[in-house]
Amino acid sequence: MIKFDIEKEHDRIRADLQQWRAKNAKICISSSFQTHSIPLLHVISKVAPDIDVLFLDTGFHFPETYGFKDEIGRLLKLNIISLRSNIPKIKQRNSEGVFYYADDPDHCCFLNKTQPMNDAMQLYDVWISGVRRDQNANRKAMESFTRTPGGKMRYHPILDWSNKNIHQYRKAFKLPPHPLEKEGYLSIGCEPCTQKYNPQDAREGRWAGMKKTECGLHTDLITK
Amino acid sequence: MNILITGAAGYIGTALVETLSRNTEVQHIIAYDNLSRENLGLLFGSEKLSEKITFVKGEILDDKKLRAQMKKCDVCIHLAAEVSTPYADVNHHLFEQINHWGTAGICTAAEECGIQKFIYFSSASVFGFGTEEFTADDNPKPVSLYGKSKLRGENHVNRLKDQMQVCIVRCANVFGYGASMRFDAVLNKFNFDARFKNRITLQGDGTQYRSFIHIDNVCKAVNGLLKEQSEESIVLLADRNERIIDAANALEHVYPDLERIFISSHLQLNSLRLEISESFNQNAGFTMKPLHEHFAEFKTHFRF
Repeated sequence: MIKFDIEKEHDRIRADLQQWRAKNAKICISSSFQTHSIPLLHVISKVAPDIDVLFLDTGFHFPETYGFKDEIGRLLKLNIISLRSNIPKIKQRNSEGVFYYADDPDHCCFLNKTQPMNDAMQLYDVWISGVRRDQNANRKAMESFTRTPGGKMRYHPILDWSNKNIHQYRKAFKLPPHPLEKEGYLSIGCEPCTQKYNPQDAREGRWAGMKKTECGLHTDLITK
Repeated sequence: MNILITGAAGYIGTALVETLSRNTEVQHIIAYDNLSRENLGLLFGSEKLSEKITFVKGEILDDKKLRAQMKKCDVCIHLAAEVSTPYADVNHHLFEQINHWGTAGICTAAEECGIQKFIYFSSASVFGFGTEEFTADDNPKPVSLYGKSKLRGENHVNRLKDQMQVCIVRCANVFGYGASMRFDAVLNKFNFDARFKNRITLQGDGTQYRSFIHIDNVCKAVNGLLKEQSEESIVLLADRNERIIDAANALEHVYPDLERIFISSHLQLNSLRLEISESFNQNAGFTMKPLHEHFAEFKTHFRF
């Protein structure tokens, strides 16, 4: 992106959404309610405030994340819907009684994120996601408009925003940070698989020590 | 009011169900428990309990089953916990599962099921150890893995404060006769060992303090909390602070020939004392008597 003009960004995203809204398409946005998630939620609250905001409540979030979600929901007047796995936690343990997050994190992500999101997409035609190319190698290769394996539209309106753009946007609208950011958490997901930022590790603290970089939402629920 | 009690078949739960079943303001009690301790004291006994009690065997990690019961209630008393006294530093993952994530799930369910009052039984162990009495304003610094997991549970409960009345009870060591009593609790173990072995075991030199509360007073306190519209969200629940060696001395009043064995008597172990709130305890109608009288009363419950 050559020049970051917030008004133009609003207009662009509004126009993109209009093509589906004109057809009465059912649109949702997913959000993990991290600091960097808030600008897109703010955009949506301006250009399409009626769409559902889906929060994947894995049951393993920091208490601060739940509080931040509620705070942002009130601030931006969002219609937040929490999605949860149909598999109770008592059934999310391996044969030794250990939660899958401590044994098979991919399966844990599948049960608590990918599967509930996939199920929810039965109700929607368009899924907005705030993925950005500068986040990791997988996202670098993504396109702004693509499809889920089930044929639903995926729209990535801020794919070309940079970390700096996120900062500019937050500053422009004085958007609050996730409360754990000041404690050194840069990328915040489920508590068991999140660590504080370690300068020795460029991974920003998710699934530290593993090769895993994605939960599955942006690898399994996207056509390649 | 309609009350869901998790861990209802435990030591505190069994006594609490009995007490609350006599409270005329309570219409229905759902006693939810997985019976992990295989303790059936709640379910069997010579004294019949009120018809307003329903027992549901279930896990707190079974979100679906729990929510189905919670939807019928306006009050939740969350007692269920993984406790492994005195070995509070083994199997940290199990503490995490039940005391942290189990509590997190119950909190989310309480939000969505319209619970109006949430009482969480935490533990004095969230304070760790110290030479002075801990007050509700002191910052918790848990030492044991159990204490840490209970504090992490508290963090989830705290986020409910904007939505419902919340009370976090940091409870002292419980003692006294009850239908589902635990004998890993130090004073109950003392009484059992005194009666059947005539010998008790003290860790270290015995001068370490612990906070205690009689099971009957726990029930009176919770009964009071149900009525109260308190601003205080943290309650320290204790009716006395005692040195372990003084508890042993009190036991000697009841069992004059009692022997004691000190393990590692060269060690002066850490103390944990809670500030005793005389006004709270008085308002709740606590029964206060010397420890040796409690022990004499305990002795009457042995069947031979």
